[in-house]
Amino acid sequence: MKGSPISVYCASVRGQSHIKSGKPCQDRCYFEIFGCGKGKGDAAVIAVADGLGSASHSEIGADIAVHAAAAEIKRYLTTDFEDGLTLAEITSDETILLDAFTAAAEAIEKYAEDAANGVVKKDLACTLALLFYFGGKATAAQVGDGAIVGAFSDGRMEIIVKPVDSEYINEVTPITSPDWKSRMNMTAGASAPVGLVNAAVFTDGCIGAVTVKKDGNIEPFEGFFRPLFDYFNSKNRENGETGESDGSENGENGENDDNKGNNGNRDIAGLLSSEKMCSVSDDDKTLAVACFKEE
Amino acid sequence: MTLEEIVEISYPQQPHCPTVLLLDISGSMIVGDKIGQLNDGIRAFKEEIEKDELARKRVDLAVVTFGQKVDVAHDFSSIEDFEPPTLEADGLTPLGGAIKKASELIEKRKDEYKKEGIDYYRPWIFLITDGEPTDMNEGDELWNEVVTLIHDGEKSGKFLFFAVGVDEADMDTLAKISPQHRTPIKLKENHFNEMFLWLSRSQTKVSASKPGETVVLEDPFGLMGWGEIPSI
Repeated sequence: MKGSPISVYCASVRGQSHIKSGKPCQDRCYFEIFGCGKGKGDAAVIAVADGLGSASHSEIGADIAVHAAAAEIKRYLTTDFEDGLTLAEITSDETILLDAFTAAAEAIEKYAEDAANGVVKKDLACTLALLFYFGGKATAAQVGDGAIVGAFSDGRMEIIVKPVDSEYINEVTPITSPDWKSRMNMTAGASAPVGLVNAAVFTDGCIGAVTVKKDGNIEPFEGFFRPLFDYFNSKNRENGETGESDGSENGENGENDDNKGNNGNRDIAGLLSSEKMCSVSDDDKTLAVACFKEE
Repeated sequence: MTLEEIVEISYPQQPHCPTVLLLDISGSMIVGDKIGQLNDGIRAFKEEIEKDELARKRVDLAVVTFGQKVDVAHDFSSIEDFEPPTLEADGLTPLGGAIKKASELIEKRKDEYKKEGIDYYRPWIFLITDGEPTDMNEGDELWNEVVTLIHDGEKSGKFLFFAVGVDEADMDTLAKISPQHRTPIKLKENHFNEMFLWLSRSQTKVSASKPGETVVLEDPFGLMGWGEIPSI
């Protein structure tokens, strides 16, 4: 969106293991930046899903999930309630997020019910991570094993949403599971981070390369995120001068499709496909980077 | 400068894939040189895992034996550091105590992983026996403790328990001990090597698996398999 204080860059790439086996990339990323009405400024939603390797059509499930969840959040942020307030302003962040995850789970269920090719819900299993930003505040949650990292105006950097605990590395609860609500990590309401300058949403294919574990806690690996955020903040400043923001090749972002002046998405795709990243994991990888600046 | 050039990455430790071989070395294992085949099988397992680039970094192995006594013949180590013990057959079949020891080793290993921040896969306990337990009888205190430990351990996801009966093994008892959904397998005569190769291929697959991926193990009962459906 031209002149927006928000920029998002993202890409999903096929992992080496899927290239070898001929499987498609099962990750999906979708984002949208949109105005929330007169005088309310812009908002952004980022949705990242990772289709499970054991599910035969998980890339379809991931695609359905990111679009359905983002649409539900956008509905809250853009629907007028009354007295100049939007639905989002009279609803708790927790409810908005829960409704977005529910919309994703129900959309997958509906696809399975309508599918004529014998696809059932578990064939569409995927994780889902969501972040929405409005009025200087970010709200985020996930069901799955990716993570969301935030960098703040005071220099702090921390994990905003951790991977949902699972004792074993190859086990994860997808949003198609009946237990998904109890397997959700959320940062909303009073715990929602303020002063956020950058955020990164990523799937588990990236997690080994971009995080560290200290005393059993997961932390962002600053050697990765500081230069990454600096790179995009600088790109964003350059874009600001021309009033451009990146489009999302992967995210099919209708709002930004006309802005192909930058190659931020391609830069991320290049990074995710690089030898450096692939040396840690041969899984599909998705990374979305958001830059927020005060209006 | 490309993004690849400007960012550093964290090189995490490889996730680990722990297995305890729980081996019967009672006196009867001398018959038909089963003990010799067992020793060869362990060596073959190590060699096979070492051939796989990923598995050799990830598979951790421990050996608990039961015969004259319950013994940790080899504590957990990486495959690289695993020195196959030469086991000698002697004594009875204190299976109950051995299962408890295997479970203790697994919990200790998990604590070490957690302390070091190492991710791990669900551990396996792989039991091979040619007899029946001599330290417990159905319904006694140790029996109840061991059966509860295995059944609850499987149900709560602490480990996966596989039982293989060799020769004159009491398959009925093994079935009662084993998790209900995983029937013990009867080893075809002289198929120790095939079984260990199957185990190494299974561990190779597990150690390469990703979140949400179902690991389909090879059928041990096929024509080329090493197992027979036990007649119980």
